[in-house]
Order: sequence, then structure tokens, then C-alpha cells
Amino acid sequence: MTEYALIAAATMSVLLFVVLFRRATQDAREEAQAGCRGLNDAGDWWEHGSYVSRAVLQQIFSQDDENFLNGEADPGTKFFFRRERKKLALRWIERRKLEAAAVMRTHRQAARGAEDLQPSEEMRLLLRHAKLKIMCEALAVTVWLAGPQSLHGLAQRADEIFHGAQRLRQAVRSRGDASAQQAQ
Amino acid sequence: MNGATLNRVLPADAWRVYDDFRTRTLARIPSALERLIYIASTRDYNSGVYQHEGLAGRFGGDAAAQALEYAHWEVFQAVSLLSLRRLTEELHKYMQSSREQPIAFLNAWQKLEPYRVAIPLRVDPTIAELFISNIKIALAVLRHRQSAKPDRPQGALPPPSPAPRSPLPYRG
Repeated sequence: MTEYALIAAATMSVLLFVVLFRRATQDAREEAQAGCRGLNDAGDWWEHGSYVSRAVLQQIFSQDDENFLNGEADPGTKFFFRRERKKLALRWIERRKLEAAAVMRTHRQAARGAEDLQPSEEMRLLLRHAKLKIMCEALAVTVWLAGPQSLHGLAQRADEIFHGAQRLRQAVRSRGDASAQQAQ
Repeated sequence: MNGATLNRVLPADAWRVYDDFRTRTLARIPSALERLIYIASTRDYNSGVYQHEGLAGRFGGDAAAQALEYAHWEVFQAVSLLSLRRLTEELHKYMQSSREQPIAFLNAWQKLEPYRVAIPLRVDPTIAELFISNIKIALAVLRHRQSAKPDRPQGALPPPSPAPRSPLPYRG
């Protein structure tokens, strides 16, 4: 009887965890989607240079700002800071997932009409996308439980995989464009 | 960003305006936050178009608007990526240069959130969110510092300001 109670409690805990986590990331996803709206008409300079992306990551996921607040702020501000950073980190993760999904979607559409598909490159792109999704999920759970501080390395790795997938997609596309020109 | 990269993102005439604006106007404004507020103030709230009579008169309205938009993006990025320590100091300097009572300044900035108008129209949403979040935290730190100071007697306070004042240079 006790075993059944324990199993039921464990199942309930897992379910509760999943529900709360899904709810937290759902909010972040909706906010990330809202933030991404209207970016299609944006120019290219705001995304110029991946150093901006790295610097933003450094800010959101580093410990430096928290160390500063430890000597400067009251408990309410520290709590507010941790909540804000967690929100920012979850939104960044959701945004990366959305952007990666968009890269894959446009690639799939282009691949349907392509005549010179390279199975090895398609597989590499698919694996990178899968790896990015897994890393983003792991990162989101960790951020949700413990906050983004000291997770800078993992976030940077996810960012590198995303940029790698983007570069691979561009290389595949430009090779496809070149072969289409040759065929003409 | 170096000149070669800039030439790719800005047309040559806008690049000349940007260079002139950076060396003759922005260089005279001491803090990054003041530079940001100044450039944002050249943008029309209704159309989002940047207007600067002096630059438009010398270089043309379109080139001036493009250069100001780029300068806005660049300064905004620099301010958003400041550490919380640096941003708090920048905000403190800005508060002092406004010559308003610190409490009145903090109340206005925390309630009205005027810093939101300093966000460029075309910007990475993560940077914009980071900027808003960091300003809110820096304001909370300044308020905490303010409340930690011993109370001043009412008679020692300077008279209230008769009109809004700005430390920023005349835009013309």
C-alpha cells in the first residue's frame, strides 16, 4: 500500500513539474513570438556581427551583475533581478528555438524543389537541429529551476550550434543556387 | 564596427553625416545614456523618422535621418550591453545632470518609464528587453541608495524646478 502511495506521489510530482514548467515556457514562448513579430521588415544592421549575440548572452547568463547587486541592493531588488534574468533567459531560449524551427521550415520548403540534395548534409542539418532542441530544453529546465547565472557556457554552446546550423543552411542554399544557374 | 563594415550598412552620404554627427555632436555629450536620450529625442514620436535641422540643412534630410537611425542603434546597443554597475553609474550621472530632485526623478522614471522611448524601432528584441530590465534594476538600486541616505531637513532642499530642464545640447 505504501509503495502505491509513493509511486502515486512521485507520478503526481512529475506531472506537477511538467505542468508548471510547460506553463512557464509557454509564457516565455508567447512573449518571444510577440517580440519577433514585425522583424521581417527590419534592416540587416541590427543583427550585424555575432559579437552582439555573444555579449547579450554574457549579460543574461553571467554572475557579474548579481555579484554587484549583492553589495548594493536590498533583498527585494535582488529577487526582482533574479526573476527578470530568468524571464529574459527563458525568452532567449524560446526565441532560439523559434528561429531554428524557421530555418528548418524554409530549408524543407527549398529542399522539396531541389534536384541535387546531398543526404549527408541534410542529415547533418537535421542532427544539429535535434541537438539544439535537446540543449535548449535542458537549458530551459535548468534556468527555470536554478536561474541563468553560471550557465553561460551551455548557452554559448547552444548559440554556436544555432549559428552553425544557419551557416550550413546558407551553404546548402548557395550551392543549390549555383547549380541552378549552371543548369540554365 | 569599423568604417569598411559601416560602408556596407550605410550609403556613402549617410556615412559622412554619421561621421560628422559622431565627432561634432556626440563627442561633446559626456555619458552614453545622455547620448542615447539625445538621439532618441531627434525622432518624431508619430512617424518614427529622425529629424535634425542642422544635419538636414548641410547633408540632406534622408541622409541625416539614416545616419541618426544608425547612430541611435549603435548607442542603444552600447548602453544595453553595459554591466549593471556601469549602467547604474550612468543613470546616477544622468539623474544629477537633470538637476531634478533625486526622488522626483526616480518616481517619474519608475512610474512613467520614459526610457522606453529611447528604444530604436529596428532592434533585436532580446537587446530591447535587456535594456528595459537593466534600467528597472538600476533604478531600484538608486532608490535603495537614496533611501539609505540620512534624511535631509526640509529647509535645506532647493526650490522646485519651474520648468522641465534638460542637460542635453540644443538640437539645431
